[in-house]
Amino acid sequence: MGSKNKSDTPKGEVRVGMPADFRIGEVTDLHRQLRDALDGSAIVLDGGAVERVDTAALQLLVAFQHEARKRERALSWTAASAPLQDAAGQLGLAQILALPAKPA
Amino acid sequence: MSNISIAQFHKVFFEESLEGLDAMESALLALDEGGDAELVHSIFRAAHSIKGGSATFGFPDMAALTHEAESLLDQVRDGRRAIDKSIVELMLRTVDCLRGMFDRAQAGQPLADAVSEGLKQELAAAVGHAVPAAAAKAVAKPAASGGWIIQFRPHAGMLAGGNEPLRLLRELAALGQLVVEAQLDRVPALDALDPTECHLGWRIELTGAVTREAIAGVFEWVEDECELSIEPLVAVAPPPAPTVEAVAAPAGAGGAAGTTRANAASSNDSGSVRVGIDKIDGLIDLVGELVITQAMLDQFREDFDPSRLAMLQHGLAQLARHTRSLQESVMGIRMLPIGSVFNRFPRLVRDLSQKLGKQVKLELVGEGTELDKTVLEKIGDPLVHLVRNAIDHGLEVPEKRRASGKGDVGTLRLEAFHRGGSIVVEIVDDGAGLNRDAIIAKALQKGLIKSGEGISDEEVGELIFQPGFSTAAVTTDLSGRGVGMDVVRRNVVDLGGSVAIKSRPGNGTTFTITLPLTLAIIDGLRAAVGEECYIVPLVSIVESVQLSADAVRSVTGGGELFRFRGEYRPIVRLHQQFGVEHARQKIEEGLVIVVEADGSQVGLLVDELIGQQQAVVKSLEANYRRVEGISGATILADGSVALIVDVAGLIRLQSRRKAA
Repeated sequence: MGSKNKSDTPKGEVRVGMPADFRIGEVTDLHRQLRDALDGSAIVLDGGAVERVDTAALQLLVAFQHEARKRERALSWTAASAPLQDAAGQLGLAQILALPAKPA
Repeated sequence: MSNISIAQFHKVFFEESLEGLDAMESALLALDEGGDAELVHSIFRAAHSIKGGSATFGFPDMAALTHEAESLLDQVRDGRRAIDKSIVELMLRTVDCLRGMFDRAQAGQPLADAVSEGLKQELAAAVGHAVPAAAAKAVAKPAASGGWIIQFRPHAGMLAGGNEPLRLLRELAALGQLVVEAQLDRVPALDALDPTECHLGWRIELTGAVTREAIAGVFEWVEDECELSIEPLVAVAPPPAPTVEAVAAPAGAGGAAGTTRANAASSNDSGSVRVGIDKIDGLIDLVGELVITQAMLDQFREDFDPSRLAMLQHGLAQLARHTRSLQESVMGIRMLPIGSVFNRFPRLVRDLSQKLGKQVKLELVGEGTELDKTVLEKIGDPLVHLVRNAIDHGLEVPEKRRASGKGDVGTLRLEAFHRGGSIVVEIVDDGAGLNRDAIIAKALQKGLIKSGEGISDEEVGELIFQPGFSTAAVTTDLSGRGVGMDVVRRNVVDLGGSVAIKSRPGNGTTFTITLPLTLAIIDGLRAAVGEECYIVPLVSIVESVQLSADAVRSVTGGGELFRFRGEYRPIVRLHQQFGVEHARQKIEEGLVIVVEADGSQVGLLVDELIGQQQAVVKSLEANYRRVEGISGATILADGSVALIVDVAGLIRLQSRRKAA
């Protein structure tokens, strides 16, 4: 699992891992982490561990995606678990979030 | 008697069932933490009651769903399936779904929706047999249009309220093909975002043969928490004719898309009693009398002259009389005629007899007999069980009746009357009576008894009260799952009553339920044991005897027996039972109170009798904890606490000890 965006200064790369239970109870915490992550020039999202996810979590990712794009940060995923993919697909957000291809 | 509207009992049924669902839910949650078999029993019983009630009151969709749930629980109860998270989760969802159904039933809307149909399939799949697809017709009736466009925009607070659009969309996906387009225009910038609020919206195209009701059903829980529109996908005539059938409620189903749960909360009040004006006027009169007596007694406060002692005594006697009448009148407010319970039965009997191909004449006697509202509410289910059993197991089909020389039409009589301080309800059928051989065979198979030799008819009658006992080979949605008789007994005993059964082979069966008039106040005998004082309920007392030492036999294993009216009865030494010190140890120095419950008698050894008294029952469980052999406590005139002996509980304890 290598990060694809090492073109910027390595120092500027920030990884944000999502918790297994990525639901409304956790979003405030992740909201803070993501806002902090915007200080880096490249942000790598790791959704590989996500087992449970809800609308609040995906909405947060959408807002983050917008913000990152606005601030021209390089954004990439190392992994997105099947539950995350499914939920995003169900809510019509898979494309917007630019999730990586489904794990085999 | 045939023109009784069943609808008037819906409210009671809803209240009871919602309570049952609450109980199911908490038991399921306890089970999730790792519970015991009793929890499974209690969940099963709740499901069974709801199933029976919903079938009786004309909610077939609800009955069908609970039937599947019950089948699954039955497997768990019999040990054919281990309880695991997935079952608990499935059952919890069923509980939620049933709550939704009750809400809709109260609003007079169709009960079945996509969720309930889906759940029914899931439950059936879990049980191991699939429900034929035709059963889902209520929802899956094709709509004339090829699909729908759904605009769904949750209010900001919906997520925090626990409602999850993801789940709703999954449910929609179960109905047909979805094309989901998320609308992000209202999502604020990251810094301004409160991540627990919802700012997303969706435009959803749903293709497939789906009714508008089915879609509305998915959003039913959230419709006051979102903006929702459901439009036909193509401009074909939108035909949302109410397609869900067989709901007995008035046809308010027309515009089902715009349903609300507005009146759902109002049913959670603490219950109410309708009181006749005459009863209230009587109370006001009595209070007036009390005020006069009080004024009269007041005179003595200023200047008491011994010459007026007689007048004082007169005043006090009057006070006592008025207080007693006032108490009786207040209790009377809670007394309702048993007819309100009996009136459920004509419909039940009609439906059941048709279903079973039996001819039944129902006789209701003593409908005006009054009993306490609490008792009344709790006696309904046991009576339903007994009536159902009587029709299902007791009464025979016409051919069989003819063969036994009886008329085609079986008679089922429900009779209520007062006897002493109790209400007696008898359920009498003129069917075949208990099938002794079948009961013994079943008891052997279930391991309830070791051998069928020398079992008395009385003991055979007792067997059917054992949990899990049933002689029916095939389970139906009527009876015959073996739930019932143990529940009947438990419910009645919990009310301070008893159930007895008398079978006349070939001529029928009689169940006799004896219930106290009220639960709030009992008449009792005050007995001293050491320095403690116990109240023995008067209804249980047969008589008190002083025994000589040689009237008592010790038996191996430590028990003691005494001879009473030609039979030996066990002695329970109350001081030993409750660990009281300084009590009289010798039988001949104390007194033996012969008490009876559930058809057996024991003698309670106490020091002496102090007197009779009315005891206002205070719950021990609510203030302390449950104690075996004690049904409650009361406060004596001197302010001390006396415990009320639970005679039935003591007898059970005694027989358990005997068996051990």
